[in-house]
Parts: sequence; structure tokens; C-alpha cells
Amino acid sequence: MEKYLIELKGVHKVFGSNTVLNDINVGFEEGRFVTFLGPSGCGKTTLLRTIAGFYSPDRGEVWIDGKRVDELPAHLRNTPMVFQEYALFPHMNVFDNVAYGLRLKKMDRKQIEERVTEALTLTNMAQFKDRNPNQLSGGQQQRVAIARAIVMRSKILLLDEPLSNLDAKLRESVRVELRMLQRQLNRTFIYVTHDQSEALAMSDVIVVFNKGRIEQVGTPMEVYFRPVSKFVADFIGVSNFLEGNASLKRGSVVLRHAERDFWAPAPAQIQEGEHVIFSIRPESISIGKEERSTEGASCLPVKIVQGMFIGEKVRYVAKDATGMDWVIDQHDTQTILSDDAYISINQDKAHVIRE
Amino acid sequence: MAAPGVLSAFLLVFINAMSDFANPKLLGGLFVTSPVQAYGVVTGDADFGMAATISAMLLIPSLVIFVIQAYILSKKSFVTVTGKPVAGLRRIKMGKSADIASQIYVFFIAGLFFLIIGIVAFFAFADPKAYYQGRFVFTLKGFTETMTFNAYTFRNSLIIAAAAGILASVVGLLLAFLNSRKSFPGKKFLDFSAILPNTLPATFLSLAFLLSFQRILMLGPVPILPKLTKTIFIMIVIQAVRQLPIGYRNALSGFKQIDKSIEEAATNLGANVGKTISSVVLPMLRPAFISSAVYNFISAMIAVSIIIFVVTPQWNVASIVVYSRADSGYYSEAGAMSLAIMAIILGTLWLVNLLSRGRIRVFD
Repeated sequence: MEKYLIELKGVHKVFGSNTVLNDINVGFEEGRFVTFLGPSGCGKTTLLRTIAGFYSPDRGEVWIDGKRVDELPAHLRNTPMVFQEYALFPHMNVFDNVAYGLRLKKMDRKQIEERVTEALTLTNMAQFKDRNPNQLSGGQQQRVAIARAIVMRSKILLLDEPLSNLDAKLRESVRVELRMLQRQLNRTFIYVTHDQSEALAMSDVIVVFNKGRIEQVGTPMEVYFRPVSKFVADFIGVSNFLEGNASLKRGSVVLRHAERDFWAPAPAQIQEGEHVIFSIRPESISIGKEERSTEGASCLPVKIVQGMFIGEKVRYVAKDATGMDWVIDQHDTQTILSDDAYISINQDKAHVIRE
Repeated sequence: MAAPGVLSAFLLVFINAMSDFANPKLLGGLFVTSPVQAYGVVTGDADFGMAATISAMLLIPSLVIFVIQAYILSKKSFVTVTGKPVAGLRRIKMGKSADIASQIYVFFIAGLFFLIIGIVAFFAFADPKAYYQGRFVFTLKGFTETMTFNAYTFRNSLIIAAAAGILASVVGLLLAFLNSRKSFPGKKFLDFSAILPNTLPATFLSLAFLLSFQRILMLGPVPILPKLTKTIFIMIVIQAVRQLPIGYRNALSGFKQIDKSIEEAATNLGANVGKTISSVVLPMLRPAFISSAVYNFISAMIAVSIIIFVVTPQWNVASIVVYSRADSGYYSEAGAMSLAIMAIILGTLWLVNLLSRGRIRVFD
């Protein structure tokens, strides 16, 4: 049985009449980069703050490193956090900010000096140790906030949308550095974001939240290619959906749409006539001017509504005979098609969702 | 957008002018105001009941104005979302003649203030006998008389003003902490109580303190109010109560500027409530605290109306001596004492500015 560093059992939290966390049961192993992902108001930050001790669950248990902590006050949990607004102490310089937690532990000066220098070096901020926070840029402040958290040498680091106040280019570079830092330190990072590309790029495990519940826990590839619900498929990336009652033929699931058959690998224990949803990613669809009649591929005539050149790909929005919109991505092309076309989907590209 | 500031200024000036004692007493002649009448009734007839009635009547217009102001402000929204300029909007600029007229007006008002100070200085250095003969003879007699007979009042003023300034700021800070960081029943009442002393006429407060603390008030066997009259403590407490709204509002504004996440960060790193307050919150509030303590100190140094009923010969203060010497016609001494008080206040401001390297601004 795997040992979890953090485990949440039946955690439930209500604010007024709003159920923010609804019976959360999940565990995370040591050394993982875990991302809480979901839209605004889904409960991901509330759960993070519950782990940190800023909120107490109305029901349920919070376990950290084999100890139950839901009754433990926040200042005794040793779950250092990187805040969205950095939350640096404006009346202290960089060194004192990073040293703050160590001084509370009454460490000796030499040890504090060594650990602070190490943390600042790891975050490339050693040369700014005498500066005040108001003399630093947003990205620099965020690095100091990270240094202040990692200097505590806790097994856990909590990060509440730490990159949301940075510009797009800086976000990408800090994102890479953060992931490298996590690997180097081999600590468990719990990272909250609503940016799914960030989650996919950085995580070992993604926990997708929706309205206080966990929709799916899995690796980035699992949640992207094998979403368990329409919400997950729609929230992570873009997806085309076909819905209907399944027919089972030759070990595959078949849905009928616009007088064409669409095929997908049959999941275990699927029943004839069961209501299913096919999730098909735009990059899994081919588009061209000619109809392709290939074994195991579904082909559909469409009318191209719009073709957008987005650098590495051309994104098409097209309508089929039933009026349904399709999103198709075509990579590595310098041609933009228009008017009538055909889309083609291989049978192993559609993913079956059973809700 | 300026309405809240204008209404607050109106309320403040209205209440201060209505309850002012020293100015109408010195300048009013036969034009007697209620505070002057209340004072006369106490000092002449020892009729505290009548004095209390007159002072209580002063409450009515104060509270009416306060309620009207609160009503008007509650009906409108004055939130400034951002101070950043909005593209496409033109700033209204005054014409050159309006500019010049405004500058002339401002210089005129400033000139009036300097003229008043100049007149006080004139009388401080002018021999009174020669003055009444129509001649100006330079003399330091006003200063020597002051230092001979009234030097102790400066000591008293400094002690009382410093203690009251710090007390008002500390209590204001505690109340602001409760208001901004804790939830409890009666929070709105606490907020109202903290700003109430500013809306009450000064002479009303002074008489109320005199009557409340003249003997130990017992509830059965339990003493609930001590005897403070004729002590320095009543002077300190009454000044502190009067200045409490300043300390409270300053601290409240300071707390609102401290993002909750900063306190959470301290807690997250291992600081309990006490440590969070002492290591993070208080240092961040230090400029606001010192600024309000200094402002309260200055207000206490020059206060007359608020302490007129509680001052005693043993604990006489410089501001009361200025009033009493002027009331008796000793303008040279009154002028000298006024200049000395001004020097103390300006010296305090200079020291604060020096020690804080310009970071603490008392009047901002």
C-alpha cells in the first residue's frame, strides 16, 4: 500500500449556504508535483488553505506525514506557502524576509546565514539580499517568496497561483525553473492554478476540481487523453464531443452521427445501448479537400467557417450537415483551406466517456 | 468625489467652533456663547447643574449634523477604484486668470496666518507700558516673567501631552485591531464609540469628566469609577479620549493597508498571533502610530476648551496660562508663552522629521 505524505479523508467545507469542498478523498506521495486545477470558485484554493491550516474542515481529516493535523493551528503545521500576491514583509529586506521563519525557530546565526544564502542562490536572488521588496520587480519578488518557503526545508511546499501576477513570457521561464527546483529538492509541491497549460507542463499529478468535487486525479497525459468526464475533457484543452447510445461492433464502440459511423476503442464492461460521449481532440482530426475512405477511419463532409493561423498550427472551425461545430488543428502547414472539406478521424483517436 | 472630505471638514469645524471656549471668551465681549456661559456659571455660582444643562444643549446640534452627514454619505458611493488616469478623458484646467486669482487667495490666507503670528510676536517683545503710550519698546520682560512664574506649566504640558498622545494612539490601535481583524457582536457600536469623542463638544466632555470623576463612584461595595479630579490623570485621560478618534482612524487606515496575506505569511512560517502582531503588524504600523501620537501631542499642547473645567493650579498647563494672561490683559506674557509653545511644537516636528528621515508625515 502506497504511503501518502498528504492525505485528505472525507474533507467537507461549507461557507454559508455554499458547499466549497464536498467529501474530498485524495492522497499524494512524497516528491510529487501535484497541481490543483479548476475554474474559479471550484474549491482548489480552499483545499490548499485547508492543508495550510487557514481553514478547518467542517468534517473529515487532514493527514500530513502520518499525523492528523486538522485540529492543529496553522503556525504549527510546517507547510510553507508561496502566496499569489507574494506577501513579502515590506519593512524587511530580502535576507530578513527569507530568514524570518528560521529566526522564529531560534536557529543560530551562522546556520541561518548558510540556509538563507543557499535558498537565495537556488532562486538566483543572492545578489539582492540587501534590497527591500519595493526595490524588486514582480518576478524577483516571487523568487524571494519561493526562497522564503524552501528555506524552511519542509517536505511540503504549497503554491497558490504564484505566477498569476507575472507577464506571459516571465511565467513561462519561471514555470520551468520552478519545476527544475522541485526535482532538485525532491519535495512535494502542491500547486494551485486555473491555467491548464501550466498544469500540463509542470505536473506529475493533476487533480481536476469542479464545484467542490474532484473530477479526476491523474497524470497530465491521463487527464488530457483519457478524461473521465465531459467537464474534464472540455476544461483541459479543446475537445469535440459526440453523444449517443453505443453500439458494439467488432470490439469497438460505434456512434452514429450525420449518417456516418464513428468508432472508438471499447472500454471494459460497456453495455450495448449505454449512453456515451466521444471526446475527440482537434489535433486528432485530419482535414482535406478529398474524402478519405480508410479502414477504421470515419469521414465527414464539413463546411469551413473559419481558419486561423496560430503560428505552429492552423485552427479550423467547421460545421457539419447537422449544424454541429468541429474544431480541427492542422500542424506544420502553410495553407489555409476554405469552403467545403472533409474531416477524418481514426478509430483509436476518440476517447469514450461514460457519465 | 470630494463630498466626503468636505462634509467631514464641515462637521469638524462646526463642532469645534460651536464648543470653543477660549476664543469667544477673549474676543466675544458681550457676545456670550454657551461654553462661555457654562464656564461662568461654574466659576461664578458653582452651579454645576446649570452648566451641565447648557453643555448638554450643545449636544443637540452636534448630533443632528453628525446624523445628517452620515445619512448623506450612506446614500452615495464614493469608492475610488483606481487612481490611474483613464484614456480619452480631459482634465479640467483653470484659465490663467483663475489660476492667478487662486494663488492670490492662497497667499492672502497664508499672509493672514503669518500676520497673526507676527502680532503675537510683536506683543511678546513689546513693553506693555510703552505700547499703551503709543510707542514700541523692545523687551524680554514677557519671557522672563513667563520663565519665573510659569516655567512649571511647560513641564506639565509636555508630560500631559506626551502621555495623552501615546495613550490615545495605543488605545486607538487596539480598537482598530479589534475592528479590522476580529468578528464579534457590537462591532459597529465599538466603531461608533471610538469616533464619538470627536463629535461631542469639548466643554461638554470637560464638564462630564469633572462631574464623573470628582468622587469614587460605587456600585454597592464595588468601586466602578475612581476619583481623578485635581490629579494629572484626569488631564491625561480627557485629552486621550478627545484624541482617540484620530489614533483610531489612523490605525484603522493602517490595518486596511496591510494585506491579510502578509499576516498569513507570518503565521504560515510559524508565528503565533502575538508574534505576528509584534514582528509584522506593529512595525508596519509604526509610521502611522508615530504620526498620530505626534499629532495628538500637538493637539494636547494647545488645547484649552477640553481641559477648562478640570485644570487645577497644581497641574496648570501652558495653554491655559496663555488664555488666562490674555484674559487679564497681560499680552506680553501671553505672547511670550504662545511663542514658546509654538517653538516646542515646531521643534517636535523637526525632531520627528529628522529621526524618521522624512518618512513620517504628521499632517498627511
